[in-house]
Amino acid sequence: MRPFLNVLLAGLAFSAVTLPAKAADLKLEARLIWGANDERETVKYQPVDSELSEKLHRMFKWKNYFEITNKTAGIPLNQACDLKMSDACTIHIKNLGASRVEVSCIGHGKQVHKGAYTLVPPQWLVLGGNDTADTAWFIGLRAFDSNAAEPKKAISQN
Amino acid sequence: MNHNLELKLQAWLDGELSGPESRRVGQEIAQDAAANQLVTELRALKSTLAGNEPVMTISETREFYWSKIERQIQRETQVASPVHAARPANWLRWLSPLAGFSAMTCLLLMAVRPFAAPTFDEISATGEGMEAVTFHDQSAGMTVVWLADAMPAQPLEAPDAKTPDTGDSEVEME
Amino acid sequence: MSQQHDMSALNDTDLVRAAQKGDMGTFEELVARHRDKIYARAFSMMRNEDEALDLSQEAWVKGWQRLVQFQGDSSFVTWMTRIVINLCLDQIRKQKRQRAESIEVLEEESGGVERYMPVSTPNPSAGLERTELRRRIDRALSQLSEEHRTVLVLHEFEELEYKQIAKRMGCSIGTVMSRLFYARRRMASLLASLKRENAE
Repeated sequence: MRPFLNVLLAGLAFSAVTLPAKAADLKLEARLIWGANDERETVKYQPVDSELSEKLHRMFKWKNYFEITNKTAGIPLNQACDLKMSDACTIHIKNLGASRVEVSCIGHGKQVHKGAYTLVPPQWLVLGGNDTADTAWFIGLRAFDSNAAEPKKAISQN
Repeated sequence: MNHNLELKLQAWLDGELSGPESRRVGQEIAQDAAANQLVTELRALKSTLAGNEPVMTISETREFYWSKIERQIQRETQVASPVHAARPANWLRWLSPLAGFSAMTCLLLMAVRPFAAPTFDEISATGEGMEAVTFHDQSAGMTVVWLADAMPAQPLEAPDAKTPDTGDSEVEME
Repeated sequence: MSQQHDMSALNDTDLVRAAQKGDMGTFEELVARHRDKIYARAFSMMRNEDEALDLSQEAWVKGWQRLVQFQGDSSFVTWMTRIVINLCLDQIRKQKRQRAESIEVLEEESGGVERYMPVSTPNPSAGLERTELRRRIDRALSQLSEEHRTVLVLHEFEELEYKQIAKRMGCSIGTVMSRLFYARRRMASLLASLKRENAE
């Protein structure tokens, strides 16, 4: 039994040394998006970029997706930050470590949703719901690699 | 007409409102043409469906249909005989060093390869009056949490008429 | 054969009493008598013949196992129907966990579009022979989502109250009301369009 334990402890020590150091800060972007059937020319906001547009079109039924707000943040481990996406909407994000975040969605001052999620680049987490007159709101969250440059805002060519 | 009123009208039609509430809504229907029209539509559908559930028949013969039920009943009433666990063989103690080596190898592999992120996430809480549905699209690389309005679970006042016992107490939710 | 003939003359109460004492022959008579109704309920909810068949048989097995609990407060067939409904709801829940729902289905759940439909007043059953009406209802039911079909079946055919439906479906009374409202508007619309289709 003792030799076995020695082998196991040696293995643990070795892996502790070789494990890559995890970046403490979580860098992410948050976008407030409006889904509507309105024609682009009639809306003052820019459409989302083509990559995100394609994903949203695969899932949802609206004709166009417009970016209302785009924010980035670097959140240290076990810290949280508030991102005000609009007058009515704030998201509170806490970095739980290991790509895990706790997201609270606050609408008109009230918490409408809270959940813990894994954000691994380049995957998106999208919270959404119906808005008025057959439109929808979405909050898209995406983490990006700590070494990568912050994503540029790109206009959809669709 | 707002959705709350629409649901009230429906509840009135279904006899789910208390006496005072029912009278109040009844007056609303009498005075509001739109409310009246909606109730008329709902009532027409109710009477269309009443007694007109599609009739289905099983094509299997009586004997064949029963034979499967009987077999299942007999199977489930048989008592399973316990399986005796085999005593660990002496040769198992030789596995301990191998187990240690395997554990170290696993740790090394985990050290040089990123952790695979868990696929599913936990929903902690959704606000009152909301429902959340989560789904994942691996190919799109997207997790969606859709928040929908649920009517707040306001307790309706006790209906006037009680329906006959429908056997609730005898059948448990599984 | 003559034993079957004797039993067919007995009412459900007598058959149940005998079956509760362990007489499987009388239980078999009850199965023969009510199997179509139990199957029809399962099919209304599941919309799949094989599944409905399996679930109806499972319901009978459970009915036999729980027969001693039946006190006669409701009719035997009502009691059996509740068993098959619970099995169907469990199956629907299990299937939901196993698949991702598209947002179109979710949109239907919330009644995004039909809530805003103008009210139509034509009577969907006017001038229809009963068989044809049932056929159209069946076709319209198949076009509803599981949730909406379930709440409609439980309310309109099973005549359960909102709170009973909420308990069985594991949701709030408000959700039941919303789903029922949407399901009715959708059924009315489907029956109206089936009527137009046949008129052309």
